[in-house]
Amino acid sequence: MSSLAVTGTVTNESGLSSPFTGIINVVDPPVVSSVSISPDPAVAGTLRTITIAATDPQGQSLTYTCKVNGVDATPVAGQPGVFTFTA
Amino acid sequence: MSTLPVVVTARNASGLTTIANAVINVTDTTQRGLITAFNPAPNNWGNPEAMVIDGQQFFVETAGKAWSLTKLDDYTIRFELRPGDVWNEDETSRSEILTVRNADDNSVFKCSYNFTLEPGTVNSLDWLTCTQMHEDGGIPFSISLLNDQMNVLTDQAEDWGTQPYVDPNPIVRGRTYAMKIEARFANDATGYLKMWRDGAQIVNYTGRLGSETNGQYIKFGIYAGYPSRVTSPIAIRYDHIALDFQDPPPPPPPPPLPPGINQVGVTTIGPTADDGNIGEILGQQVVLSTAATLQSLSFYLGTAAGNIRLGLYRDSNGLPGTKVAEASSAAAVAGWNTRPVTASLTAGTYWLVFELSSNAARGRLINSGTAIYATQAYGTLPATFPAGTIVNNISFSFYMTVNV
Repeated sequence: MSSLAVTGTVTNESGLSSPFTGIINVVDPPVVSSVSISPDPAVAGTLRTITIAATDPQGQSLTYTCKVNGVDATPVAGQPGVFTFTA
Repeated sequence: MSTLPVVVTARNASGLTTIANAVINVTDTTQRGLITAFNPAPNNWGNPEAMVIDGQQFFVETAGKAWSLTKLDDYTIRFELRPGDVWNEDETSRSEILTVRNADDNSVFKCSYNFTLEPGTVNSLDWLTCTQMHEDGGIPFSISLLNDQMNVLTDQAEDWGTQPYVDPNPIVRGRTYAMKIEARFANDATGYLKMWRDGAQIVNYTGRLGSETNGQYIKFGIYAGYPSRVTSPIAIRYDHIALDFQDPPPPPPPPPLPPGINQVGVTTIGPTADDGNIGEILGQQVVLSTAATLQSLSFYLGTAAGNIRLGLYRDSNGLPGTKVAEASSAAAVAGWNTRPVTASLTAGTYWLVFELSSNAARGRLINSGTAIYATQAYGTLPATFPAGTIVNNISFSFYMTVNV
């Protein structure tokens, strides 16, 4: 997550003013560092394992989806970011 | 090769999503390595048909534990070796299968499979073999894992042996590697070994490969040697095992036999003794090039014990079929056991067949020809030869005498 500094003043009708400061927090998107497929290449009909390596700059937890040729791959239970697909 | 698009997303708790793309490469449309028979019981010497992958029969050498050898799906088998696991025939730690069929000397052998070393303790053994090409006289090549690094050795026990590949990095456990092998076994510069991993060539060896002793068979699995060396479980998966053996060229037809008495078969005394054949019927292929009259059958014993029974079967598609003639049982004698028997024979392929009633009787072998053995109690030879196992490059000192 990155942040932006905010500074300003607030002034009333009498001309009195006070400065203020603040921070705008910018939430960055996840970073996908790799998508690995194993085995690959392989003959048609082979069960492949697709592994997504990703991190979140804020340290937030991530959820994943995976489609092969428009078809949902099967998530592997207990292994976030890991899917199987026969292709 | 075709490709399939892969689209993945990663979404965080704030709802922000990143999309990434990849492709799946499909090499062809034909799957190899279908497991059509799976019985993990070890020592299936008499029934290798219980383990058939890609149309090839395998023998099983494991500790016989529930985890030693399992089938994960129609194309995948899994080997596991745990501390204390030993194969009872030689008390070594191994979970392996090996082909019944041999790759002939001077023939090209091709093989491909996918290989996955499962997550676990890094192997720090000084050797751990996961694929071996074996022959009677040595190991033409092997793939081993040392500190999880893949090593390839050729003829490791011979002075012409080499180490054509050492991976500087450990393989990634849990990742599947696509292996492809092509080899020619020869005593001269025509020998070679080529190997690819995930499509990249890792071995390109040319030179002597093997010792040309009796053909080569391939072993898959885990071989760690002495049980004390295995201190943590090791598990490897193999899938889509594809094996291509090159058929040897057919031998030239034998010349016609001259008129008169002829001997057909192995008339020399082989250098290798063989015993332990009680409860079996054994045979070897012979070709009779001319119609003739069978006069006798002769089998050589270096050591005599019990009784011997000799016979002749007609060939049926490369296997012994129906019985043509049988000599009566007789007490075995040291030297040539010649038993009279008559039959009219047409030119063609036959099988010389014998039974021995004692394990102590020792025949003599040469390293050529085609033999077969099957389970059969000593007694009258069956009218049709029972289902058996072919053994290449083996023949007994055994011939028939015919009159042309």
